[in-house]
Amino acid sequence: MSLLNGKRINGVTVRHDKNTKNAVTTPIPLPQRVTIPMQQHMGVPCKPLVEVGDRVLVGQKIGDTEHLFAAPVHSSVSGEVEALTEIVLPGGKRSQAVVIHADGKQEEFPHKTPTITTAQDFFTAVRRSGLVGLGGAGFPAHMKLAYKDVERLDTLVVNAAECEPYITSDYRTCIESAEDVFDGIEAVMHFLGLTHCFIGIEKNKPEAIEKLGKICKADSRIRVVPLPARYPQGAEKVLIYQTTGRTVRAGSLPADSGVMMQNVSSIAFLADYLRRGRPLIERFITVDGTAVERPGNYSVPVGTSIREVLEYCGGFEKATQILSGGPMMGSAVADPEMPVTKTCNALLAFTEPEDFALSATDCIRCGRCTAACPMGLRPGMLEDAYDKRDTAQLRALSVTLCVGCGSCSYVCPAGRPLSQKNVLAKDLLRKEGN
Amino acid sequence: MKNREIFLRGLLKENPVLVMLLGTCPTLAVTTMALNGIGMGLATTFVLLGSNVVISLLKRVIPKEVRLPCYIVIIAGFVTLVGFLLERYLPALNQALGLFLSLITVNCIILGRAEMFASKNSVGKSALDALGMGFGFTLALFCMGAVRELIGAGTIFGIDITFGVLEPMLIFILPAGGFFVFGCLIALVNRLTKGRAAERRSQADGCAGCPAAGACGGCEEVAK
Amino acid sequence: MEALIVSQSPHRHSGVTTPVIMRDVLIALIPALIASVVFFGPRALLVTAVTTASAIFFEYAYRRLMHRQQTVGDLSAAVTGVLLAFNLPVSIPLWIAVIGSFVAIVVVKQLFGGIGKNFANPAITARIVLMVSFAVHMTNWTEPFAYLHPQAEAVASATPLAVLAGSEGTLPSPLMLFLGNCGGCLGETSALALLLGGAYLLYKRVIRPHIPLAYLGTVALLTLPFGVERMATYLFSGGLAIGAIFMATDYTTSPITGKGKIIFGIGCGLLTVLIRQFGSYPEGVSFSILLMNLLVPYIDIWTAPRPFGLTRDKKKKEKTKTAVEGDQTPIRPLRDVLRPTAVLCVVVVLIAGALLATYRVTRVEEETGLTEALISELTELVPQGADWEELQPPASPENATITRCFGSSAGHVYEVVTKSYGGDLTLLVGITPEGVSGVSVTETSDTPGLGSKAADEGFLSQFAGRKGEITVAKNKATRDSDIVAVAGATISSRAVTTAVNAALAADSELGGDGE
Repeated sequence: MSLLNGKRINGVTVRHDKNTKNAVTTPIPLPQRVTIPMQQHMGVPCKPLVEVGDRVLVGQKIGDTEHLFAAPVHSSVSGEVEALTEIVLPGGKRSQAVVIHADGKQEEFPHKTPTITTAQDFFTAVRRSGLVGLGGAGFPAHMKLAYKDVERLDTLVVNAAECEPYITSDYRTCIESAEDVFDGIEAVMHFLGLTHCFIGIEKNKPEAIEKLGKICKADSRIRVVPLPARYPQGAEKVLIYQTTGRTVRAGSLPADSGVMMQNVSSIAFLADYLRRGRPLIERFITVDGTAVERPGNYSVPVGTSIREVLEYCGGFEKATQILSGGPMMGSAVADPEMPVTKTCNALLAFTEPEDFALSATDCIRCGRCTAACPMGLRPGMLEDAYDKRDTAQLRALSVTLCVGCGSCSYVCPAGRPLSQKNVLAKDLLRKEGN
Repeated sequence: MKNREIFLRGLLKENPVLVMLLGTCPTLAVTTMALNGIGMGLATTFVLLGSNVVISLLKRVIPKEVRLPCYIVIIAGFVTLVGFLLERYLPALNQALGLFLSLITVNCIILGRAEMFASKNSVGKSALDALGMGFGFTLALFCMGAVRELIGAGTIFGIDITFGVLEPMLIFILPAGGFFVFGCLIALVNRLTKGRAAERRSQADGCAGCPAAGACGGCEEVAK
Repeated sequence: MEALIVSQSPHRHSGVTTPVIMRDVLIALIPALIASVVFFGPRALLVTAVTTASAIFFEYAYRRLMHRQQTVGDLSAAVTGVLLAFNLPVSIPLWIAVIGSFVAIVVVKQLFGGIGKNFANPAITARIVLMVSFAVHMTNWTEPFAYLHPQAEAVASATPLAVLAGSEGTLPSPLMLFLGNCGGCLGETSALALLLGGAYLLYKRVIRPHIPLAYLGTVALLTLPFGVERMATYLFSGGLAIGAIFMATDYTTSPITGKGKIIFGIGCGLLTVLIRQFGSYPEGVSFSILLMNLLVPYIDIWTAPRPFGLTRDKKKKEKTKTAVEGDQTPIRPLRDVLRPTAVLCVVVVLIAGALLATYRVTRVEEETGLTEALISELTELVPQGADWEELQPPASPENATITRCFGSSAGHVYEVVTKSYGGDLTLLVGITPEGVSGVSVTETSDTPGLGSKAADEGFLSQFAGRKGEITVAKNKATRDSDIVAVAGATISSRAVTTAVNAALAADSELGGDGE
């Protein structure tokens, strides 16, 4: 499988299309209203804490639940609660939402810098911040930090790989907020008692590598690891292996191998939160694609409709396909009125989809899918097994290890929907009781 | 089952070679010429008829525990008889069939019919069954032999019909071509019986015609 | 704005589709096509066009007839057509080429389900079928550039491999072989052109280097002990280059992982050398590839990639669960199979030993007299002969062995053994004072349909009445002492002649007066 530290992994080489890498992050004009979903994370959805007519301030908590496995939701604007509704999110999930009419004043809720003495305080603070994995996964950050066996953890891996085409928001974080990245790393390492830190970053970001290298020199425990720009370098297990050499066992968590992984933008946000106490209410996203007239990196208040963002950037009318996320793993947006959520790291709008004319033909057994799979699976055989609904075979072929990177479908000359069928297969196994 | 049907089913619907896939070894070995195919088929039919009749006559006499050895002895007897007759009157055919003549003794078709039919039915019906199966076998062998001889050697019954113009395709005389023709014939029969032959095969199985069927106990009531 | 297109990720494709890959293969075959036209003339182009067009037609017609999705658009039929043409000699009758296309496309590919489902390489299998069925046409090689002198009498030339195997002819230098200036099938002669194509395929990442390197490397390694020149001759002769680069690398019939590809390549190389050296066919590439094709499903199981993070035990358990593609029966681990196999082997050996012992004890010594059958054979060769008795065989010349000698009132019969193409050739030669009275072949190991034809009445009757030394002419008798060889079986014909000459020589030694 993959070789250590800088050598090739399976996976595929994709066109980088990092057109916006020099675009400094700029804010978009304040939207008139925001629709803030109660579920912007993996786990238990929040319940609204406000009612129609309530006045809310920027950063005020408007949704939460007693469950630990959830991240609270805060308002990104100051204004009046207009409605409580239900919406469909990109990806198909249904969620309750709070619609707030912005008054334009952006009055801030009095934030409190968190006081942290113990690890437990740290977890509580992180949960309060509403932070979820900003790489797109949406896993509540405090859940990762609340690993039961904290003693076991010794390494922090910062994911700055950003292997998806087009997306440059993490890169901009490295350039614009390098000090925050450093402070965030220091904080996490301190509160969790970690001894090493690796920053995994792709070689196509030389300026970021240089900048981070300079800043992290102050702490010898931190090491910047440049990796080949190959997709999916940023996949969790792949990156951990590439930076630390540790193999996360099938069915285990990275924490079981002593590793804590966090996205670089999450780390930077954490530093800012620990300093100011201001929760997660805006996202820095890359807007790009053949339809977009002014591509760049923009700071967008959570809850802004996708349409408004694209209209601001120009070209909304021309778009026939809008993706939230990257072209490899992002979700297609069906309704542009949907809001930008905490998990959105990019909006891509295309005049014509990149793989439009492809229809599936017979498998030619070329083996490209097997060569591409970073998890060492055999997508061709998985497809056969799924077509027959053979759950025993699916399990024997370890379909549960599939990370959904899409390399197999990308590379299949017959245009077969391999990655898509893996999703269905995992679903099938889940229904059967796994 | 009507007498007519007992006879007819052996020809196509339950053809021993092309549907039940019994006796494939002599089929493939001997059909390099149409005449050999017919010769083998008729020799087998003769043995089949004789053994079916005798076994049916003796069905109440032969004890169940030793029925298989008894059947074999009876069948071997008839095969030896046929061997003597061929050696005297048709030595060329005897030469052509060679070893496979003696191997008729263990041809699954004969033992299969003895076990499945002759041991349970009247002499008359057994004779009809033998004739039907035997002619079906002969028919299959003739078709195989004719096709292989025609395409592989350019002759039919030894008569050259290439007119010096056409060229035969040697592979059909060789085993690879034999298997290919065999496969094509089976496909054709499947088509003609609209796939119902295949269904019946999975029910009536070569299993039931196998000597071990009784001992294995898996296919007791398959006989139809 | 129009409705948005919604689909599941990934939303991007590499752009490399099946037709793109096939198109690249066709491009890679262009140098070899040009080389074939240069060496063998415009008919090479005609043959290629015929096989390609018929291949496309057969695929189109079959899919249409069977109401399946039309697949001619993926260009794989065209590739098969061209590759098949490259495996045929330029003089091949066009109708045979069409039969080849039919076998490749319909029998090997479509009957099994179409692209991706064939169990063996279509072009290779078709070549083998044609070679077995029409041996004479398939081995009718012409000299390169012969098309430039159409008036000159067509001289059949031997391929380098045939010469290596002992046929008469000069071996071209390794450089000539590399360029392609030698007899052979259309696309297989020019290693240079094929390597160019191979380089293109590697550059375009259509093939990976594992199979060609493993295949050629194994052949090189095995022939290196015989000298570099010999190794080079071996590498550049016959269908090795085209086999290693274009045929063995066919996706469907080769293993999926790199490790598997290497095993496959090594196997092909080994088999090719073995068949070329010890087999009765001069060319081993087609058979080796076909045989290795059959092993591919097993190679794939043995070299399956390990899923990331799976522990050793789990992998072993999965090995027993993972089934052969499309088949539900699990493959049992080696351990379970070893013991029963060993027991079986012991039983077989014991029983065989018992039988052998019994045979030894119960065998009755045969009479040393001449049997009826033998006497009738002898009389056929020397019709007036009577009172046959076996005599001491006279001394044999160097290239033939006189194993038995029979005398009668009218003449002698000699049993001669000589070396022929595929092995030893045993003949009976009847000689009377008038000369050769009859020849019959009792044992031959030559190629059926080719060398075995040297046992035919038509050929052997030429020897009747000959007295002096007999020589062999290939197409037409030019001297009195000539007999004409069987087309395509020169070596066998020569062997028979050598044997007859030896018998004549021995007979004249004896006095030749029928004593």
